[in-house]
Amino acid sequence: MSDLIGIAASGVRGYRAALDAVGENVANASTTGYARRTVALVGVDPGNGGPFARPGVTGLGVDVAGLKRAHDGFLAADARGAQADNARLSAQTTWLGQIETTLAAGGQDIGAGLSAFYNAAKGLAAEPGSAVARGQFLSAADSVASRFRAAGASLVRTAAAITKEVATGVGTVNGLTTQIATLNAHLRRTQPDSASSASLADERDRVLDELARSVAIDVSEGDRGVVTVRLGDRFGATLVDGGGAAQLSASGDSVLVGRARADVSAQIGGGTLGGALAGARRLTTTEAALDGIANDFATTINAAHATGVDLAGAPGGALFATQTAIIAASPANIGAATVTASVADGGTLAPGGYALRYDGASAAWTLAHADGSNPVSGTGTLTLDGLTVGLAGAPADADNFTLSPAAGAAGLSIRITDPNKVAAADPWIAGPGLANAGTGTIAVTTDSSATGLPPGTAFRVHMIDVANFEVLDPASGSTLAAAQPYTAGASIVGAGFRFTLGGAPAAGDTFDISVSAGAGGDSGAVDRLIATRGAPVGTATLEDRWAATTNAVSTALSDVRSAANAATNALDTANAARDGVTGVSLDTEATDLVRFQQAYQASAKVIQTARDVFNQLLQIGG
Amino acid sequence: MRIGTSSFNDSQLNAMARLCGQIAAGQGAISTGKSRVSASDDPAAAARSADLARTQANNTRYASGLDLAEQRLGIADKSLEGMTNQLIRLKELALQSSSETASPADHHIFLTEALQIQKVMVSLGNAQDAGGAYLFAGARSAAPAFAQDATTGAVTYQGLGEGVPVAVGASASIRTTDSAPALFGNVAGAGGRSVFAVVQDFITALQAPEPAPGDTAAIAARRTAFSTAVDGVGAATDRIAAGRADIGARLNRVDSERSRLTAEGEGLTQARSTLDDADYAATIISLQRASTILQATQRSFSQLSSLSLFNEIHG
Repeated sequence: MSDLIGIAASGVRGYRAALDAVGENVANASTTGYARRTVALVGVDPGNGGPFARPGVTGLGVDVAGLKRAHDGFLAADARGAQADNARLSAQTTWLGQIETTLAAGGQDIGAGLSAFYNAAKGLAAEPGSAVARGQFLSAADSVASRFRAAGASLVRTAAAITKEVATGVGTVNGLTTQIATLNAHLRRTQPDSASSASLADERDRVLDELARSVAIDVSEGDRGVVTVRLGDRFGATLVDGGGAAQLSASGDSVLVGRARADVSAQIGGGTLGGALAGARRLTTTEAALDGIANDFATTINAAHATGVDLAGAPGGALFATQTAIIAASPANIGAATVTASVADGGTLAPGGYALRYDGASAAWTLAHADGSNPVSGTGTLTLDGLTVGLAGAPADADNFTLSPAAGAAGLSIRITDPNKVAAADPWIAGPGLANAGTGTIAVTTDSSATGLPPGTAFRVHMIDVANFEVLDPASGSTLAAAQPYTAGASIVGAGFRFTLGGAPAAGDTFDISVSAGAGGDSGAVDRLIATRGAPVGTATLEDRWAATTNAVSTALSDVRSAANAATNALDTANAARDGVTGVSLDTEATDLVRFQQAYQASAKVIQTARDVFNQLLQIGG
Repeated sequence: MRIGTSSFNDSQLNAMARLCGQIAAGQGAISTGKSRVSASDDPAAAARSADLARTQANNTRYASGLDLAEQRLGIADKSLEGMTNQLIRLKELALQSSSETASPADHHIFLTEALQIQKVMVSLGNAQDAGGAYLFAGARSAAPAFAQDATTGAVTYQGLGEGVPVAVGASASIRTTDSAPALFGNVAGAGGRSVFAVVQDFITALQAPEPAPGDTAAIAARRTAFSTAVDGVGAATDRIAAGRADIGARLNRVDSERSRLTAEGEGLTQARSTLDDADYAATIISLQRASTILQATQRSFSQLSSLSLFNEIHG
């Protein structure tokens, strides 16, 4: 009879353990990473055929074979993959959204600025002498330059934020892989199928999930639940193995692994880190496109502007400066100095930037490269490498400023501020005299190399008769070029210009050629500037290139957003599939609770019955 | 399939969060009246809308160009109308001068009036637009087209070249100014002389000393000079009438370009509205649907989550 008690006692023990497991499951119903546990109960083999076999007798009760963690490696990997995709797309959405917002600039974008600039140029072409039109043209030019600068600076800030995010992400990954390596070590020393091994495995899976949110990983499980973690897929660089964790490091927007610092950026396809790297790639492309547009815009406009002359007849030069030095005052400055900087056309600035410092003892400023080389000292104005620094106000000793060179979009600024300096006109203008009786016409083009006539500012073509003309000085009437035959359409070399006569001029007709200084009614140069609007620069017109740049970002963001929606659904499905195996269902636990309670009670009853039977036998004996 | 309690709660939460997102987006569309918050909500529509916005900005520029053209051509037309009136009066003076009954005293009176008319002609020839540019000075629009010598009274043209056309369309422009040679020069029927030269000739004829009575040759020469002046002033009037007709044609073109711009502008506004503006009916319906589903989800969740077998197990 003692056997019966033993069998029943094993049942009580077994179901007690099962009930404990149910209690544990219910308690951890909402614990992240917790996998449902069940107690494996096995009948005790009576040892049939063995030396102690007792044929005909049933088993020896039940034994607790161990604690089983409900776990499916395939579903867990699937869920981690979905996790990594989801985190990547969500991070990518954030970064692309920032780039898009920068480019859209609340409707004050570069595209609208470019259109406004070209339209202001059309307004100037209609009224080249009008101070209002000139002012509007300069204001539109300034506005488009400042939009380029703002977008450029904003992209630089976003790039810095992404670089920071990559560094943070690398730090997170290192922290998590170290934890996994530690858990690996613990798991190797822990009895399998025990409560502590299950807890360690839960913790390990939780950390793996968290790691998958930072970067896509491949996990293979070995003996005793020790895992090997690789970047991306099973061919990727090893992050964690039985030996420990390899440390990642960030270098700009690249991710390096181990002491050898091998670049593994290409293997990082998922997680927030993957999203940040994808954002960095898009940012680099966008920045390059934006800088390209800014440079081409400045180059084409400057080239057209340089062909013209301003109201006073002076050559146009560049309308836009393509380089700027960004001035930053040291927070420790106590003086009231104001610093301005301008960069000469074609100046080559030191990439490292410049340092400007005031020395109270010698009462002089010193401008030098950031490393202290090539110093120049003085007051008022300092010049180094084409960088001219204007100094005013009252500085205090040791006040200092840093000047960082900026080119591309961030470096675009307007060079001309006086509306009268806008070079709208061609250098030379020409036309027939009022008294002309013929139908002759004249056209003049600029040719700085032309020296067919003595230098001057005004010339008069005089038709001696219908077949011959001479060139006179309109002021004195003296002859500048002797009689020569008239040929319609022939290009005649002047002084800094060429001219062509056409039509049927009458004898005595005159045609005047003059510098445009002070004329105020010519728009030759601004017409050429407007013509650059429709001409492709590189692949397309600048406005179209801008549209393509923003559209590329918007389309990418839109695609990423759709993918993110799909990834969220995929993640829900993958999580549901995994939780179907590992998750705790309270209804299931309630059923188990009732079942095990009943079994426990029954086993207890069996013990009571065994005692009763034993007592009966004792009474027979007594 | 077994559903974990926690994952059931999570998935319900996600579903409700998604619905809330839809409702927020719909609410945003209704409150802003815009169908897109950012370009990425519909890149194709955003690109088309930006394209249309560029055309609209250009058309605004062309509309100002048309305003400028109308203003300049209108001023030029008024100025030419004034000149025509002056020339009609000058022709009367020339006719009366050539009359045999005109006395030296009459000629003196005619000269005074003719000099006055010449001054008026110069001032009309120096017409300026609202921006101060001289309309008939060609490319030298910053200075008056005509200058009159204070002592001799001689009128000289100071302008040069041609003025600039005004863009009124992608490839359309209107000439808004005419240089004096183009408008007043080469008068057919006056030996290719200019309008101002014709006026000067008449004045010179009036200024000539009175021929002595009986000096038939001088009297005949003077009569010829006056009759040449009558013909010349008539031809000058015709020349200016031709110029006015040309300006009138361009004013008509301004009107037709403006009608085209207005029609195109309406189309553009309509097209942008279709692309940019929220479709209220559709948005409200989808908002209604999302909020109904959200309510149903919340109710069913609160009912389902209170369902637990544990509630049914009693001691």
